[in-house]
Amino acid sequence: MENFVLKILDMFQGLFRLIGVNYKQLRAIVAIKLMMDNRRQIIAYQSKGKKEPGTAFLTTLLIYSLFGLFIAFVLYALPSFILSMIMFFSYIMVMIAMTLITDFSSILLDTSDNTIILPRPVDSRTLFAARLTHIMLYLGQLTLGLSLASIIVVVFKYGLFFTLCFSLGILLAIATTIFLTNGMYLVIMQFSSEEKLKNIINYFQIAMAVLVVGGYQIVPRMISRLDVANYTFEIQWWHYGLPPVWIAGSLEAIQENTFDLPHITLLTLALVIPVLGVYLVNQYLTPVFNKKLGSLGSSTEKREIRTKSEKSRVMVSISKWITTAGIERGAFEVVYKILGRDRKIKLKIYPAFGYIFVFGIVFLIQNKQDLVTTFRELPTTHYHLMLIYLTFMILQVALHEIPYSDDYKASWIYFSAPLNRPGEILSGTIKAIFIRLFIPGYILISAIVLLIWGVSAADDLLFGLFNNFLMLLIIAAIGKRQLPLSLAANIRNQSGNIARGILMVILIGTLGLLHYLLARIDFILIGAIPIQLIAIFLLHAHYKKTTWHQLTL
Amino acid sequence: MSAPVITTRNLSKTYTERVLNNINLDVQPGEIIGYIGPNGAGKSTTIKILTGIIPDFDGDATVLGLDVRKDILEIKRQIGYIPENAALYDTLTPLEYLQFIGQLYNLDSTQIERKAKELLQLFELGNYTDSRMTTFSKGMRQKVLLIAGMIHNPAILFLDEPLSGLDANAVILVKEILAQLKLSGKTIFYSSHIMDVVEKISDRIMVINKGEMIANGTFQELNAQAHSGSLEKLFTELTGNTEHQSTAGQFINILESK
Repeated sequence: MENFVLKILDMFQGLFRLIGVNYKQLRAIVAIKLMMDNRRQIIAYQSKGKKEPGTAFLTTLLIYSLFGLFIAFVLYALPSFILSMIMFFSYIMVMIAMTLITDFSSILLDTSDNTIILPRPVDSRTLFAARLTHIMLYLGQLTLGLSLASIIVVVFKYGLFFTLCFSLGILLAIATTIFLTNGMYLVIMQFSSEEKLKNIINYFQIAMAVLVVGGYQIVPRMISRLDVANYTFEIQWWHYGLPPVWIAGSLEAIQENTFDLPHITLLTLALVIPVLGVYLVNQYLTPVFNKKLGSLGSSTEKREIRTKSEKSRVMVSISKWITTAGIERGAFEVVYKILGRDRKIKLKIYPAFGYIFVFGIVFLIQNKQDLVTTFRELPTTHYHLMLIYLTFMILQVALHEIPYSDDYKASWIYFSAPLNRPGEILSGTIKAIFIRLFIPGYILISAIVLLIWGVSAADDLLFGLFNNFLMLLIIAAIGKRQLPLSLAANIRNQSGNIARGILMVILIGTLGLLHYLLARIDFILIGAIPIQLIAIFLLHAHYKKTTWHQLTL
Repeated sequence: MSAPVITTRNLSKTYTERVLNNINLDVQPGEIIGYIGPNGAGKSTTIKILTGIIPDFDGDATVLGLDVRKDILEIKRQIGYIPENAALYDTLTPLEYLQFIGQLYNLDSTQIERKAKELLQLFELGNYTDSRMTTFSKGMRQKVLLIAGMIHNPAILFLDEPLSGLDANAVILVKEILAQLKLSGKTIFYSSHIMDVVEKISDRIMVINKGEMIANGTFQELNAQAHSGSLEKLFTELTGNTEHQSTAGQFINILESK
């Protein structure tokens, strides 16, 4: 299938030669990049030992078109033309932008090209064109997949001529998004270091993970509550700042033949910005970008990252409170710091914060009342218990991810050090998870709960806090006990997890239910807290005594 | 003397601080230059400028009589570069990788395939031509990099720490290859930390420290100035770090302190 893509590329070789690109080299670079993408995907998505399929291109296309079914359904079902178009183009542009930022930041900022291709006789125009072609091919595949179903819907709903305009709109959407994303990159690179840029990209990736889950969970529910039949759309001044509205508005102008001033403005924006953008990117941004990129690997690697010591002072005093000196405190401090710094780990754990809100909203809009009534009646419900226990998601995800690290080899230290009871490392680790990740989230949730339910919910919050820690201890003790950051991420062994998983769900459900039942009687929660604390104390002591034999290595 | 193949005049490079300061060097065709200095002295920066990887710098530099600023593409065609950090596309097989490199030089692909296979065979990688490099050891990667830097038969070879990760046999083989390359008229510009190798194979040794050239001559010439006996001792004298013994003593003291 790579060959098929390259054959298509060959059809444009005249164009490449025209702009002064060495086509043979470009083709070689693009071919090798596609081949590597292909292999990387296979490593990521497939179990080992299977032969690589020759149809990876088609497979990816198919997966994207499945994603696209969702938005195609919106196009099909929404009676309001403009609203459906805005939703479609927002979806496409957000997906392209997010893909550019997440998947392609690594390619755009790849410095291995600097040492592999730069010393070879390849001029910078060819190299940049090759990179851009690689990205365009990928985005083209993505957009084609995502909009395939939608295009079919449009053909049947609006006819062939409009489909042509619609497809043109998609192309404009790609160009606009690339321009805006590149521009954003350049601005960030201008003002911050490579390290900061990587951090920003990291948070985008986290946001992307939340957005995808949130989008699929919430948007359909919101639409089902909207009074879509009577929805009317009027162009407001701030709509001129939203690229999806430009294109949707232009299509409306064509479809309904209304060429008034607002529509003409939108049409002009939709056409001029991408063309201007492509010109600007080519003329000004590319050279600056390339120069910046050339110095990325070499200049910044010597700049050390200094860590603020104030923050860690707080951490040290916390650790003195809750850990015993020595191994447990050491494990606590190291895991605490790494949870805040390691981008890969953040990417896996931090989306859980977003999921809390996503599922919080999902449960809230579950019943068919309108939102205002739901909110007004909120203080009389026990919905805040839901929030308290949703926060547990952070702990569950973190506990699941903490044994894995890219630096798993550094775990030799556990084995070479004179460690009698590795349980101290485990208890230090779960405390670090609890303090570093859970507490900040819980403070935020508490603030929301106190705001809506008032001070009377304080006992629930306190009881819930201890219950969360108790649940963490329980699942840590029942689950496989693994040393933190000691395993390679790609060799996860999931066997035997189902029985444990069911047991965990039952236990957590029991504790949650207990809270719900106890909450009905005044003061009983406060009375129950000492019992909780005794349970925590005993379980913690047991967990801390974990021996080498009880570990799964 | 014939015209030098590498010259620099007041070659300087500044990032946030100055890493290279007015480096002047002339390299004759067929010379093996040992370019040494402590970590962060500017060795890699010099090589990256001469090979066109770092495009903006101050001063002048020529390679093969061509201006590094103007004719870098032509220079790149005729030189080979072997980087220090074993950067290669490791999801590829050695054969695929070398094929790709060949394409960038516009070489004939059947010729590349034959050469690549034979060279891999010589480096005892014959059984691995079609295995992905993800599983390769550092030494195996370094061998592939060495081949990738030389497969187009360059007139000048720039090597940045080429022996890292190689086993003793491979080191001897590479030393021998460099010596024979010199016999066939190639110029070799070589940076390393392994002093006895540099001492044995270099025609001329250049020492830089903190971006400044502090010594330039044959081993005998340098040794005559300093009476050190070995390049290792000479190196520590020149780079101003003669207190290793007392540093080591302090190290032990701190370990044993209560």
